[in-house]
Amino acid sequence: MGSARKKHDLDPLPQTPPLPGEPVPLPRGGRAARLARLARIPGAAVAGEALISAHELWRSRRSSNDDGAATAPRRREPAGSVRKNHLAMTAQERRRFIQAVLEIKRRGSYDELVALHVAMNATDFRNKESGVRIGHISPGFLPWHRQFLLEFERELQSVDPTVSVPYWDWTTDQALDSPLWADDFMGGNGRKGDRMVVTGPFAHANGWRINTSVVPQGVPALNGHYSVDDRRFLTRDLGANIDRLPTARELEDTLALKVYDSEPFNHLAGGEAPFHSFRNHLEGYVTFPWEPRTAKLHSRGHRWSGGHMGYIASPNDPLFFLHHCFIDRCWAVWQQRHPHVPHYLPVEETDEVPGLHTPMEPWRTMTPADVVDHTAFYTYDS
Amino acid sequence: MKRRDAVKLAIGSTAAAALSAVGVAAGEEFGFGGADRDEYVEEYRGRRIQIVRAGELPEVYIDGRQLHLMRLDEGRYLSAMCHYEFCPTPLAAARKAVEELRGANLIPLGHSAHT
Repeated sequence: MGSARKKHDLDPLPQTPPLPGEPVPLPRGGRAARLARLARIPGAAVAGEALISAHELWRSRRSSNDDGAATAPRRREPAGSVRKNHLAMTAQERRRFIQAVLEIKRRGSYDELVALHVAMNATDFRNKESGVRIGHISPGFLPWHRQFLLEFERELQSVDPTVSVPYWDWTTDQALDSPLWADDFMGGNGRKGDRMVVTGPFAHANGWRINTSVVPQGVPALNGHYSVDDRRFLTRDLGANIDRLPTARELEDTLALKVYDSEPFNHLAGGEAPFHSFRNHLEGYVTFPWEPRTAKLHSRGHRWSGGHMGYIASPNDPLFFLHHCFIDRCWAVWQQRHPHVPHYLPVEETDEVPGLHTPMEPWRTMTPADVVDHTAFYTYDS
Repeated sequence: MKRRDAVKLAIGSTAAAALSAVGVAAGEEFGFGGADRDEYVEEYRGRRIQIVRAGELPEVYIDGRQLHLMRLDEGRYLSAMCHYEFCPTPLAAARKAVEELRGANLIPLGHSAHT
């Protein structure tokens, strides 16, 4: 059977992945300069500090536990993974997912993803009005997080190939007694007082630790940027910051928007009629006049969950991945609703945001165009 | 026994000489009254909040540890501790961070070794 396997099953993506430690060659001229700016992003959080490439961060983190090869998640044909609503998972599927998460936490790759998200977040938010924004406050929000989840899923599948990322549909799954919060899955709300999560696999007492290390790691040496405070336990504060989750109606109104994104491609895009930014309304920085002014959809999910989910290091709560898997599915549903409009904009990169064919930092293995069609990698159960 | 949440401790001006050239009505924008102040300190829920004017963005400290603060535009700030909802001023972001920390400490930012 080995010789009979289909060639395309194992072929990498058309882009040649860079060798370890080697950035993608840049073309000459103005485009090269812009790409170079895209490649150099500050790894730290405050103005005036040295720039560190997120690519270097990624390499330095990875080189300690594998050969450092930067490869893209493999396309599968047919798509192998089926991402399910967590409510549709069997008991065994739930158990295998949790076991895989715990194992990549033990191996350290989970915290690498946390650190990467912190670095990207710090950069993107500091550069919201001028400069480069890749994964947040940017049209890159959806493709960047799609690759982020693919990287997470690939790590899980290196532990257990049957595992895929489940999603949390908060438009309908809003009860505090949902199986989402059960002891065999995400665990429950934080307790009164310090808001420590005390039930389930991510409770401190059950071994889940937030990495608060500030010991330099990797080359170049970096402080730990896994969390911004010294609590070693996960926190949640369900419903404390915002009294309710987004409604199905709120999501429907945003899914009805016909334009993916528009100038200025930031937190102001699509803020006024005719609301030309599906991305920004989903990311949650603008609202319709009839909606609450802040924290919509994606942002509202973070704020409602509270605790670590509301911080810059939100992936410390595994709930992050279920939340973002649903956001990812929203992009797929929106594409189905609007088959004849561009599913990513802008086509040409700007000085600030990735274009359709701009390699996404820090991996530089795929572009938004490579991930627009999720069915090349996985499908959704509905 | 009811202690007020916020107790103003001091209004310093140690950095005034170096920073006065900025020349903006920073106090209003940053969330505390007075356009001519370059530093603001208050005690909030037992924590020391310090806001220092430093160019375009003020620096915010909780018990001496810097809070990562981001300004989207006027009246819209995000911080590392409140990352998905806007705070109207740096002071509001600082107080929110104190509420979220619940006695915990910020981790120092920066690249140098803190071993």
